Amino acid sequence: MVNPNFMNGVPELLILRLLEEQEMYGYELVAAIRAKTGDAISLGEGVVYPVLHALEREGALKSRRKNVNGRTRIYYTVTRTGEKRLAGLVRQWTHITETVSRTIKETSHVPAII
Amino acid sequence: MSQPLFDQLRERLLRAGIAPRHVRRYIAELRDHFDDLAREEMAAGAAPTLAQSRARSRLGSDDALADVMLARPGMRSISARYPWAVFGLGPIAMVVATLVAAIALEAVAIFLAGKLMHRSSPFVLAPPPEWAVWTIFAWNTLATYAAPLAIAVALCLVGLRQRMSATWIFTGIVIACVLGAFQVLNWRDLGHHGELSLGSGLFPPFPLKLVVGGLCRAVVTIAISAAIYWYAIRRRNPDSTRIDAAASLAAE
Repeated sequence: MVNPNFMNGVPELLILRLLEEQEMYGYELVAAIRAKTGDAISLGEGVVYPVLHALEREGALKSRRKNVNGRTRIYYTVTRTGEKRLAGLVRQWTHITETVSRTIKETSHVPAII
Repeated sequence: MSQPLFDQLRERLLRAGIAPRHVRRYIAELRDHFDDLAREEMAAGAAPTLAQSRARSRLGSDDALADVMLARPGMRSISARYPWAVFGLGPIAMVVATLVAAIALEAVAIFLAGKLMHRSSPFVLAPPPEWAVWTIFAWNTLATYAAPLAIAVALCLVGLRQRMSATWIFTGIVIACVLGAFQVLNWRDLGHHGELSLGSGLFPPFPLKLVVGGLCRAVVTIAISAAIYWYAIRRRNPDSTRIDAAASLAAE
C-alpha cells in the first residue's frame, strides 16, 4: 500500500505495536514491519526515523545507544505514554476498519439503479 | 563500505529550519540503515555497486526523506521559529545579563576582599594592593569589551550552524556589538571608600567621550565578527568566493 491518503497514522500504529513487543533499532523495525505486513506496506525505509524521533519527542518512545558488534545502535522502546497512545490508535483504527468493512458489505448488496 | 553522505539532504533540512541535532541524528541513522541494507543485498548475492544502489533506492528519495521530516514542525529549531527572539531580543538580554552578573560578582568580590584585608583592624584603611586594582581593571575590560564580542561571535556561529539568513545573523551581531560597546564599567578607590560605576553612551546626557569611544569599539567588534562570519562561510564552502567571482565575471 503506497497511497499516502490511507497511510495517515499507520506508521505510528505499527511502530508502537512492534516496539511494544521488544526494543528495536530502525533497520530491525523496518524489517519487522515488512515481515508482519507481508510487504503490503512499502514506504521508503528511511522515513521511519522522523516518525521515531517525533514519537520520542512526544514521550511515547525512549531511546538508548547500545554497542552491538562494534557498531552503535539507537534502540527504541515504548513508554507508558506510548502504550496509552497505542491503545487509542488501535481503538480508532479498529473503528475505522469495521465501519469501512460494513459499508463495503452493505453497498455490495444494493442493486444497481440504471 | 562507502556510504552516501546525504550532504544535499542535510543542507535542505538545515535551510528549512530543522534543528541541527535532529538533522545530525537523522543522517547518522540513515547511514547506518544504508549500511545494513547494502550488507543485506550483498548477502543475497548482489555485487557491491548494485547492492549500494539498491540500498539507496530502498531508503527512499531525498524528496521523500526530506518531506517526512519537514512535515513535523516540532523538529524546527528555536532560531528558525523565533528568529526575532534569538537574534533581536537575545543579544539585548545577554549583554544586560553579562553586565549585571559582572557588577554583582565584582561587588561581592570587593566586599569580601575588603572584609578579609581589614579583619584584624577594621578602622585602619589601607589602599588596595596593585594586583587587586589590575584584577578589577581586567575584569571590567572583559565584561565590557570581550563579552559583547563573545556574544556576537556566538550568535554568528549559531546562525551559521542553523543556516540562518545573513540579515538575522548581522542583526544579532550589530545589536550585541553596539549595545556592549557603549557601556563602561569603572572602579575607583577614593581612600575612604571604593566606587563602582557603570557609564553608558546610549542614555542622556550622552557623554561625548563614551559616544565616540563606543562608536569606535562597535566598529571594531562588528568588523571582527564580520571577519569570523566570512571565514566560517569560506570554511563551510571553500568554492563560494570562487563561484561568486566566476558569476561576476560571467555577468560582465
